[in-house]
Amino acid sequence: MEKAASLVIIIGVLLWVASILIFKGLWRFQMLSAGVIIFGIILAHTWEELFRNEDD
Amino acid sequence: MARKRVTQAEEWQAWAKRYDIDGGIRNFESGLTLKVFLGALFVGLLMMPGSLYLTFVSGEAGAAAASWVAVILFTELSRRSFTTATRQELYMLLGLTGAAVGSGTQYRNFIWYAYFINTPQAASYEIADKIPWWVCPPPDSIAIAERTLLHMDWFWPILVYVVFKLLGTVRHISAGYLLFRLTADLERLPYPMAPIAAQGATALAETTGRGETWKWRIFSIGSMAGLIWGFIYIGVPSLTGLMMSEPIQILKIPFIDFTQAIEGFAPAGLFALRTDFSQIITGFVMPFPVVMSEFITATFSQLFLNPLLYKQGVLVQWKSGMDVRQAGLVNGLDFWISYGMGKSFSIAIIGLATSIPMVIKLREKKQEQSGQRGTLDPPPGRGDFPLWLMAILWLFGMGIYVYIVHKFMVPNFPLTFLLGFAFLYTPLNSYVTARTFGVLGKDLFDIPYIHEMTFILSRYEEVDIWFVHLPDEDYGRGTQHWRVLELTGTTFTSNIAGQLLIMPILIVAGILVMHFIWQIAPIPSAQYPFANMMWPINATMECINKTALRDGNSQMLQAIRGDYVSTGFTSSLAIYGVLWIAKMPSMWFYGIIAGIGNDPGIILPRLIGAVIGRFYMIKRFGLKRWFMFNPVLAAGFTCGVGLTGMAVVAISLVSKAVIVKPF
Repeated sequence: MEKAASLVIIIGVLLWVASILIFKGLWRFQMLSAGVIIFGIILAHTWEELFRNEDD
Repeated sequence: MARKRVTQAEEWQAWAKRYDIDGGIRNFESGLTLKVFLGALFVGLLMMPGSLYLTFVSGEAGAAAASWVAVILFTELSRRSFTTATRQELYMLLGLTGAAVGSGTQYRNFIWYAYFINTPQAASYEIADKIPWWVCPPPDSIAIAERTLLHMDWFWPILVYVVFKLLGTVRHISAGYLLFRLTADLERLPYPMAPIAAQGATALAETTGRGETWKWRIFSIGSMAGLIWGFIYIGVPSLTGLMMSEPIQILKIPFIDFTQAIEGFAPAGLFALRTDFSQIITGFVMPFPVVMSEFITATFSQLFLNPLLYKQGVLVQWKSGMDVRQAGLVNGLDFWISYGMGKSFSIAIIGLATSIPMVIKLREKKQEQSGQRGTLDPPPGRGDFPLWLMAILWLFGMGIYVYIVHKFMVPNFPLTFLLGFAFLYTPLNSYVTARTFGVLGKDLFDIPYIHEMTFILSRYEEVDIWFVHLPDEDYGRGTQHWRVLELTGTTFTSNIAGQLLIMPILIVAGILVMHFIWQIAPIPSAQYPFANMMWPINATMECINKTALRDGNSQMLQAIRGDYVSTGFTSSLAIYGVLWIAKMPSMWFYGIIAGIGNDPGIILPRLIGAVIGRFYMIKRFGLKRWFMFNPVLAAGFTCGVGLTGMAVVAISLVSKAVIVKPF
């Protein structure tokens, strides 16, 4: 789950970079990438709080 | 070797323990005794009137110093009476004094509007006849002509003030407590600035006992340093200003501007070195990763980001030759205000993303010990309340408040906006502030011109809405106070009882004293030089502000751009995500966020303190001892600077009273 969270965050960050470089910072594309990153962060903290001990 | 992941929970737990210099072991005691009650009476009847008077004469309320003076006086009385004062009593006195002195400015509005309603500015901007009945009596009222607050014409303004004061107290206590439980008990945020207030009271309490410990010695060293610094930074300019046309400033106040010097290689960049080196003491206290990352990001913003934004045509208003104030204003309007809004929202989202799994865990696992992150069980004897009770109290306080505003004050203003402020914006704003205070010791959340935006969206055109205190509140700052109570071992119940006890004293004493000050001479007039100089200008500014949206146009509102808000929001989330993947401590994130767009010259003194602390003091004294020393040192320093400030104000008053007389 840690790797999945990292992957989602990386995809979100790449989307954001693309939204700045390709779509000239249009807010719709930025918010789309923000949504992906938020999902990744929620996943990350859910893993930390609820599943980390089991994984360890 | 791969870096070991330290979870945010473990990281903040460690910082919280570091700032809890008693090691989390304390007995909770009531701070409310007869002695404190008498001290509060002293505060209500002497300090607050003095503060009110000073605001009209010199513009300085002396709030910071007055609290310490009251507490030092109290400890000296205790020593000479061969009795002791506990740290709980002293902290409560400190808090009540601060509340009393600070509350003085609220009464000032009665006199301000009595003056404003009869100004030529209010008449020419067509506001005078539109000031509502719950703000002040009509312009031709005999109460205004005779300069008296003890008149039936003031009944409604004073009644509205008192009712709102009571409801506001209920809301602030209940919501502040709820947020404290969430951020300090559940999340275990460290609240780095809380030990300063806590240790000041503790050190002074020790002087009344039989034996003095290291705390009093450190506090004294801090006080002496504060007195010397206060003399250099406040004393010399103020005292020479009394004798000379141009005061002598040993260090230029408040900063030395290098903005024009760096524009050759960093166009649109800001750099103004803050000369208030008391910030070094703050740097001692703040977490090192926060200060360091804040400085690095601020430097990057001003030396690389701003020039890039200028070249890309984002910072369009900056012109060569602008100083830090002009450049800061235009850069803010072009980009940074919008960006700042976005990054503030990201803090709220990250806070929720970290808290929700913790709440789920809490429901699943109840066996965590009190005082550990992830549990809501309070320590025994702290004087806690059921969370549901506080939630109901806040809903009650806010509900009644919105009802009064909607029903009696601005009945035609759309209720939806009032409800949105009360039940969406206020909780969001308060939660973000509570978190930033918990980590950074300061507020980051600010949506500029939110009132103006609301008024435009509501299509409400009456002037009376500008006089309403809208239900957009911030309880986040108050959470630090609860943490200080915990650190000093003061029971929450005694603190609330103290607040409720002093409130009627302040309400009655404040109105009476304001009445007598008004009776001495008209305000503004020559007897009150600061008000005499500033109030006519303020009246013009208030007229301009209150009529700024008449043509449905505002330059400030046009500064808020959706694309840039999104950039602030998403880039902050991206930084947080990348730091998480890199297994970096989350303290770096909060430092980076605070530093982006900031002026590195403002942070530099704090960085000096942080570097001295990290690389010299910790080696010299050891980590644990240094973290025990530095809040006490900072408290002593604040006390020393405050005492200098008060002495300077007193000398200024005497000097003006003697010299300004025409014959």
